[in-house]
Amino acid sequence: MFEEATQWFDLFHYHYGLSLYPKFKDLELLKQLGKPVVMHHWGNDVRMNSIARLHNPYVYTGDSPPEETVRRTLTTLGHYFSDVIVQDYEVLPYVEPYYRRVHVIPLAIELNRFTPAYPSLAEKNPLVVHAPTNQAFKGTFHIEKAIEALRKEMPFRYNRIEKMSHEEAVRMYRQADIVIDQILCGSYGLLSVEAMAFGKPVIAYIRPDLLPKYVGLPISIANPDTIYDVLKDLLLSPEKRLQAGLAGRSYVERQHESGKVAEQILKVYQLARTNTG
Amino acid sequence: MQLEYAQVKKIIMLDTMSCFRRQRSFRWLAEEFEPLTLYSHEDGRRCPFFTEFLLAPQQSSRGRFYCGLYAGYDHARKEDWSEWVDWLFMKEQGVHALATVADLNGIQEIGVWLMLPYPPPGDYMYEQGKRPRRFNIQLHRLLALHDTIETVIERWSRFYARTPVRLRGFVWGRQGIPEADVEVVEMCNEWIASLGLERLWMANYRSNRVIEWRELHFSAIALFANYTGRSEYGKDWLYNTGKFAALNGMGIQVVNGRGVIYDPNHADLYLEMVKNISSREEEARSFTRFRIQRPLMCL
Repeated sequence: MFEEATQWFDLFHYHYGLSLYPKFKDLELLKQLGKPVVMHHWGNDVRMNSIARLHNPYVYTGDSPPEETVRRTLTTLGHYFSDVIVQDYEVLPYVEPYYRRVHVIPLAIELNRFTPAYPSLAEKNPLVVHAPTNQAFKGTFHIEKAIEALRKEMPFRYNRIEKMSHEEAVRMYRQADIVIDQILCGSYGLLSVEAMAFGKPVIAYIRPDLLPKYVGLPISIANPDTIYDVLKDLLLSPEKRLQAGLAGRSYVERQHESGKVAEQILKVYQLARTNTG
Repeated sequence: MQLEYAQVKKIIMLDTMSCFRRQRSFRWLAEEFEPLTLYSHEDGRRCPFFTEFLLAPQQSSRGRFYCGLYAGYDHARKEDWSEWVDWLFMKEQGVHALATVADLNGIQEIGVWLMLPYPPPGDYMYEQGKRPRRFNIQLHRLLALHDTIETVIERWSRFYARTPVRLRGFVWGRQGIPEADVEVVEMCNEWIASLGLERLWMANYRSNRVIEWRELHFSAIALFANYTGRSEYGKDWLYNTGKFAALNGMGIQVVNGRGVIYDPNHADLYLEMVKNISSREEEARSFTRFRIQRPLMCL
């Protein structure tokens, strides 16, 4: 099937530091054929403890491969890929030394699938949503600790999104008044993007040194030390929730709209083709 | 329930045997242990000071290294590992001296943690003879550790059973855990756990696999922040290490050093961090590793 694909396609875009054949033999074949290739790293495939911890005492790296494995893989991939894409500046330093060009291109989202449902100013019993797809990575323990403490102080509902399809989960986000994404990693993920597209206020942890890279990002920043205060502040203020929701939608339209992201990816494809040619 | 600083478990770490860096040998006699086990108030009252001691072997009499950091230069072999075991049971020094100090001063119990010699992975000879053992075979690495630990425990029960010193557990002999060590660490720790003993890892804040310390079957971990005040590592390292340790139920290593790279206030900053962490985190435990000229530490 792969051999057949080489006859039909002009460029191969790989993801997550993986390829199709053992020992990356498909990459060798594509190299011989002169086919351009692009690799897309997403984070957990390359996150290394020794680098992640330089600026972030909260980050969880337990679900990434062992550091030696990551370094070995990147060294090999560096022979085949000149152009590589990462989703944000948190992922950048892990891969930067291994490739000629690393492009930071934001996550893409099809905005027409996300009709905004901004938080109501009249809501007295707001719904907080969190999706612990990877609890240790997202900091679910700390989030739920704060939620338990706040439950004793004020009325609100909490919904843990788990064991449901992506479509069902997205429906749940749409009903939320506050969405809590990941509070350890230091950057925001797809849940934040989808929630902002729905016009929801989002809580996540953005590393202070990365903040200048996210101009106008309206995410409420919280880490395990501050999640209680940040969540409380949003729960107490319907105006702030609405304001953040409006700003979030606008931010996603500017940064994550699939058409705009596709244009950036096309430029990378062009570079990769030029490089191969 | 929050921990008070006084409740934090403090362990002082001492280099033992020969040490090329200090160009001396550490026997640890009773008179050297006494100021570490007893604190004298200004009014003359004396009370217990450190009650937990971590003994870390540096070099054998042949100059071979026990620790992971220098094992690549000239690693300890079977005769050196045996020398370390013998050192633990020599009279009037080391553990024996510690037991004497405790006995003489009415200290009921002193905990001892033993750092294990490190078997470096690779083509390193451990034992020659009819059945040679080399460290490029994982089983041989495990057997070296197993046999040595078994000997220590057996001799400990004969020598120290009726003394105030208690063997708390063993400490892994390397700061980082590379891929080649994972299996050995897991199996060794599982076995030590089955004996009812603790397994401590003295890791660096950025060491590989620190986040997986429980999966590696360690019962405790203490992180080293690398902060000394006059090196390239700023205070952020100290604060980040403290936060990370507190969040993950880890301990921290408190440095108290002298020399050009040490700022006069570094020890105060470390102690302040320990107090902050212990007062805000329910599960954080704290060790204190004290080294006379270099570190000290805490969990």
